[in-house]
Amino acid sequence: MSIASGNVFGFWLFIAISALVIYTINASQRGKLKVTIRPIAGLEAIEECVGRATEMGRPVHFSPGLGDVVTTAAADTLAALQILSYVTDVAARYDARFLVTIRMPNVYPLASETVRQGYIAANKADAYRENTVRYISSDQDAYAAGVIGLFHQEKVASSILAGLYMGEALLLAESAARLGIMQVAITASVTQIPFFVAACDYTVIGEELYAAGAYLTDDKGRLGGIAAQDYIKLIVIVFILLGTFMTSMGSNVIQELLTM
Amino acid sequence: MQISTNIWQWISVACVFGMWSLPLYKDNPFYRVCQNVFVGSCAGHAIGIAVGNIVNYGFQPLGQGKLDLLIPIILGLMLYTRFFPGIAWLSRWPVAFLVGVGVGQTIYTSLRSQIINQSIAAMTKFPGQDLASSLNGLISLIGLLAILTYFLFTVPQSRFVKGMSQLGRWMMMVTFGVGFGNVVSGRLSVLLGELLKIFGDWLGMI
Repeated sequence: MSIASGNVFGFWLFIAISALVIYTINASQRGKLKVTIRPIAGLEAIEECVGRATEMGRPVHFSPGLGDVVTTAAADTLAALQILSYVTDVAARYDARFLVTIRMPNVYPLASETVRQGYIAANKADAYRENTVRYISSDQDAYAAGVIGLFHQEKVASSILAGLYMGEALLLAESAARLGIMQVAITASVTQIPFFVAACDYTVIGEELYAAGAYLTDDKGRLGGIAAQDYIKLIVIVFILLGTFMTSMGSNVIQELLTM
Repeated sequence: MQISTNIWQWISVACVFGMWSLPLYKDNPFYRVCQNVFVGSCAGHAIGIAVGNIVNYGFQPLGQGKLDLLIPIILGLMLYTRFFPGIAWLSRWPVAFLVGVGVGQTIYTSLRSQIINQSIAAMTKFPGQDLASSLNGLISLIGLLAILTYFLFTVPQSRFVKGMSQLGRWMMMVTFGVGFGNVVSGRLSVLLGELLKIFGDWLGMI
């Protein structure tokens, strides 16, 4: 058995990255590696979002995005579910009315279980309602229409949009902005970030989505994972600089190594 | 002017007006009817497709002896055990399987497309063919490194790192501005399509 040509470097890189992630998670959990994340303003605003809804006696809305857990959007959706866990905890502590809307059927059981467990962990199991998590539609436009309708009909006070978004991002964000709904958007969808920046009160962009779970929970294991990602980015920076230098010198040795 | 006599044109245009009534006026029964018809018809369509998939790719091949399909069918049925409190824990197995598949796919594609291929694409030759291409390459390289620095979360924020992060933020804002403009022009063409439907297909004025 041999590794297919073109995948050799990728395979060993995968092994190296996995080893690094496992090491940093272990080191962080044992206290050997102290990890501190720089402040991310948008994530600090989540509690303000829930607090505002509580004071107004109106619901706080959360969407884990349009992504599924069985596609390449899995990372975005799972990161959004980590944020959902935190928002549920805050909503349960504040006794805020909570509303979660779902687009993908596969995400529904995960979100439902996350919210239910969140209420149980906060000793507020009685406050959990079966209709807290609502499946709207797997069609993205119908999902947007359904959520916009809920904004009006339920008189939502704040909205947190996390995960993967597509063309309906502006529909959701702009409709909420017109209603004076406080919004925090947390997404790595590059093409939709401009609309969230324009229409939302706070926008958490790019890889900040993947760091959000560690940032909000201060979980040592997750913080170790974020440290590993930073080390990988630093290695990538070194490779790019080295590759640029070698290319300028007329050598493609780095490119050939990467495509081995 | 010749108004269309096709009932579906009338329904289609009525739905467009219904949806527009929310942003242009306010929440109203007409919008709610259109919204619920839209969401309901999409749900109906999705159920139709799902049932078709189960029959065509599940039961029919199973009837022809492809017994390995029993595994996904049983996993699918296990999803519904969450409605029965005594065996609700069984629904976690298929969910765990789905998440495992999703994460596995993500790792492979991310490593290849987002790390290896993008790193190779960033390795430009200096000097370029002319001054313009050299400048372009330099801006791309510095922009990439600055944005990568912005997304370093655990590195101590020294003056250099902060400066690069700020530059990265500016680079991203410029990129977002360009993206915003592109999509706005795309949305205008969608609006024009709807206006064509109203004034052309329905009213026959165009």
